[in-house]
Amino acid sequence: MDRKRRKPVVSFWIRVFISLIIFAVTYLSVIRPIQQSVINNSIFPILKTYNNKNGFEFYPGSGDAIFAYQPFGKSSVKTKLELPFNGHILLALALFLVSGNKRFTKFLVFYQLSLFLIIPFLGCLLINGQTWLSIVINVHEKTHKVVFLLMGLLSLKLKSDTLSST
Amino acid sequence: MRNRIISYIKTPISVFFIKVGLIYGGWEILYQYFFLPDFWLDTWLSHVGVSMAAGILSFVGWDVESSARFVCIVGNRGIEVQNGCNGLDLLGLYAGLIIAYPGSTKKRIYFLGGGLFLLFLANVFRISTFVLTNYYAPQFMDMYHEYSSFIIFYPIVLTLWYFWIESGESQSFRSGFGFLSV
Repeated sequence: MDRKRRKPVVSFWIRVFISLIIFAVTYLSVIRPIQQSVINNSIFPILKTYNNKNGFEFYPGSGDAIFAYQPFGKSSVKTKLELPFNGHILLALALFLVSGNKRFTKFLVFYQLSLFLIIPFLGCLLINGQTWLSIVINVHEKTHKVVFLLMGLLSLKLKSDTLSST
Repeated sequence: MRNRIISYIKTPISVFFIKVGLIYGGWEILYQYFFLPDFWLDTWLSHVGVSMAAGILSFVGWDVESSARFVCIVGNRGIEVQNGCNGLDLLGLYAGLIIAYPGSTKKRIYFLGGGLFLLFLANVFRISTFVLTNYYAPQFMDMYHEYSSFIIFYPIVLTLWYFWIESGESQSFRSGFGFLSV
């Protein structure tokens, strides 16, 4: 790659690096504390006082999640209920934004907004006895993070390839 | 219509989604029904992490004592590595993408073995730094505990994932992705 071609690629990666640092600082100092406050002060107290008949115990995770644990020996179930727009998703969003992928940015935002309805609904069903949903919720929690992050990384790669070929 | 559905299912992106679902589904079932009831895998990872961190710190010259999940510099308050802090979740997350994303088997084995080992070592390093922070700057312990995974784990995972995507068969994979066009 000659110098003329390399320059935009290098400046793109510098932009990616700076954006990731800005994202990390903003997320850790502003967004995460807000999410923790929402979990600890709004959602967790409600769940704690909720008299569920199925023996679920709730405890807040370190960040943007609440764990619902049903301790019944061999059939114990641990479910992670996360707030939409959690750290992984916001990281993917940052990757989309820095690579200029508007289409996928929109898709991610709509998907996460829909989770504001879906996660509480599934959570209600879970603590009211539909414990099989634990697997669905946990698999979705991991899968959608990985898929969005993968798309973010692919967007970066695609943008970098485009810049180096023009 | 049937042929169109079959050809769509056979595209690399669909295969990837199916594989990701199956891998994390399989992992979830294994974890919930085999590992979770007595937490044996979590316990093992925590114990090994603690004993390795104690070994490294002793080797470097600190006077360290450890037992099961606890480790400390002699005379100081100990730290406990609980199940959520042993990196198991992240190991699963990392491995899932490496297995699901298309690439050569040989490279996949390198990325899986090397990456998981690197992440395990990163967790040992993290535990060691917890012990040192707890000894030298206990006032920052909570903050460091909160943010250490972001500083130590995520840069490693994202970099390895990026290299895996770069070395994998992303050309054929991306061909099924109209919406990814920038």
